[in-house]
Amino acid sequence: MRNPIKVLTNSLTIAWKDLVEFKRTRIALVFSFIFPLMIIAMFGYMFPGSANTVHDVPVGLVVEDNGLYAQNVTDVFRMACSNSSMFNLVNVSSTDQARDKIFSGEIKGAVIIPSNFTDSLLSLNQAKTVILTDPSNPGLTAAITQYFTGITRAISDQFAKEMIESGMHVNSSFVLQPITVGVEGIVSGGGSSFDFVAPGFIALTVMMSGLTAVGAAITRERELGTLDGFLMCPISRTSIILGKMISRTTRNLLQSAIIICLAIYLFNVHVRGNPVLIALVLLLGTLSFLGLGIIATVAAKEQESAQLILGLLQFPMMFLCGLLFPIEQMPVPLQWVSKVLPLTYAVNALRKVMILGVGIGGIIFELTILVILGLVTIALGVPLFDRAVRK
Amino acid sequence: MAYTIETENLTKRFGELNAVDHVSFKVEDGEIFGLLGPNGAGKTTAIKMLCTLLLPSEGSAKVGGYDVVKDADQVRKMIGVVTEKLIMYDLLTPIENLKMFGKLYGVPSSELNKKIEELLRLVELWDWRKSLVGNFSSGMRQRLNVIRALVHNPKILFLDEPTVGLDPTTARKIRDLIKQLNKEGITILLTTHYMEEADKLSNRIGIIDQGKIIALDTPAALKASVGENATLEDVFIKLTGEKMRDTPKNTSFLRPRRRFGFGGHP
Repeated sequence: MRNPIKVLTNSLTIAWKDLVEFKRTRIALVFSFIFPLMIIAMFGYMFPGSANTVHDVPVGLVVEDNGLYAQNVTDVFRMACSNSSMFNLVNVSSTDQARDKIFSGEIKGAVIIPSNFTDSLLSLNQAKTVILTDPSNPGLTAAITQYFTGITRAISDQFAKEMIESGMHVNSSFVLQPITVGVEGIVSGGGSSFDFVAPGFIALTVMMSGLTAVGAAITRERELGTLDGFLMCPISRTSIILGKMISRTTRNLLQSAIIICLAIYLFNVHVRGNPVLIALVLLLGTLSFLGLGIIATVAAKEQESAQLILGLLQFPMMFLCGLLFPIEQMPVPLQWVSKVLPLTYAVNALRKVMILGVGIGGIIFELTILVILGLVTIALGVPLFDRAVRK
Repeated sequence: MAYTIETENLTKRFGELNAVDHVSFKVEDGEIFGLLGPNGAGKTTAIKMLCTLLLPSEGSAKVGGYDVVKDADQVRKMIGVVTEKLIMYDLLTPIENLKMFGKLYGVPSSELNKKIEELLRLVELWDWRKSLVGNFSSGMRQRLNVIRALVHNPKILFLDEPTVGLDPTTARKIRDLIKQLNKEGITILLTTHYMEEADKLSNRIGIIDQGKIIALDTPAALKASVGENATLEDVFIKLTGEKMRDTPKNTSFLRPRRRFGFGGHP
């Protein structure tokens, strides 16, 4: 049995070498930052603001008023939602609870009928419903806002019509719009599409370089002939792969930090989360993709098949993990697929932390999945690598 | 007589091909042993097995008294290897390169700095210690490549074509260095295509062809067996034939099949 400290210090020596090399390759250094920024810029500008189709999205309904009109309005909401398959209304007891549930992802938005709703209408003053939204998901926010604003307007118009027909004497602004709609995000400040896109692409960059990194680094050293130099050293083979992983993880974290800073500066992206927590999500994401990449590359016998396997992993993740389109807007079978792709969890966690400023408690589920995936894939991948180099 | 390297029926198969075919030879303590053979004869494969880079398909080998499979780490500690391809990172300076390998060989850092200076001065690269290896000429790189194999004071040195592609001056410097190291007690196994070099340096020579050792003796005895005034080149050509061996098949097994890899992503 080898001394684990020795294994680690040896891997640090190798990682140090990799990082010095990386630091001295100016062009690669610059492009590793330009690439994701370019993509964020592209998609941030072209991102579709409205949502077309959504299915069975859970939306909270908070009724703080027991009055007659509140009852009528909720009945209409319920009827509309049960007639279409777009939203499922979920009863929520209070605004605070709705807020918590949106943070945890249990519901994607909420409609609130405030306590003075009936009273306002009875006293012939404008009443207000509130739509509570999740700025980390602008596509869904648009869909929810559009839908419930539409229904509320219809109710409002109907109410006004009845007023006029009944010949009641009311002031004009009240007749024009007896019920107004307020839209509030669960965090202050509206989310721009950059806010939505940036975490997705930071996660994507981490995923892509994580998947291909170790294999590419090893192949490069093998082609140069320098891998033999490490293999002839009296060190554990694990140190070699570990060193590569450490250097790549450091690179990824550094790269992400710079991209986040540039995104804040260039695209006015709001980052509300704790930097340490963001780093933790990126670290776990990197590790889980590294493991997956090692397995894919070692399992494939040649370079070509490795590339195919990795393409098969990468492309679905680019499109199905909620980078561009909210997962809820995809057809249901594809939603299942997205649930088994690890990038979904990395993106979700990153978005929650960066945009909503959620604490560790809010992303514990995503983190657990990433930790398990990372541990399993690395535990499988490292021995596979050891076997592959010992011919 | 103690043997530093002993192989017994050492065999490496790549698919159908016997790259090294039941090779048995012994290298004595403190000698320079030349391993000659046409391209693709199995020299590099044999050395790779002795250096623990490849697992033998059959047979066994001991280096410095340790089995190359069971005690691979003990073997690795004792040997220095100069491969055909340079093991040097272009983006690092000579000092950084040597330091990294020294550390991986477990050389204490107090000794390591002294050793690196000594070696760099030995091959006249001390003045270049702070420039990147990428800027070096091939002669400088090869000198560096040789001393890289020496940072951990190995007892046995494997040299796979150490003077290939070098100008006569540099080649002679390397040959002088090989002799000097041998005088200091290092056992050396050398492959080369330069017959004169093999003749001058080696105490004994083994000629390998199609994976088999076909002759093994002192240079003088080998030459005498062919005729008066014969050169080592005559011996080589007589034994291995006039036919050229550079067929694609022969080069394909020099490097084992790639097990993984793909193009990188930025």
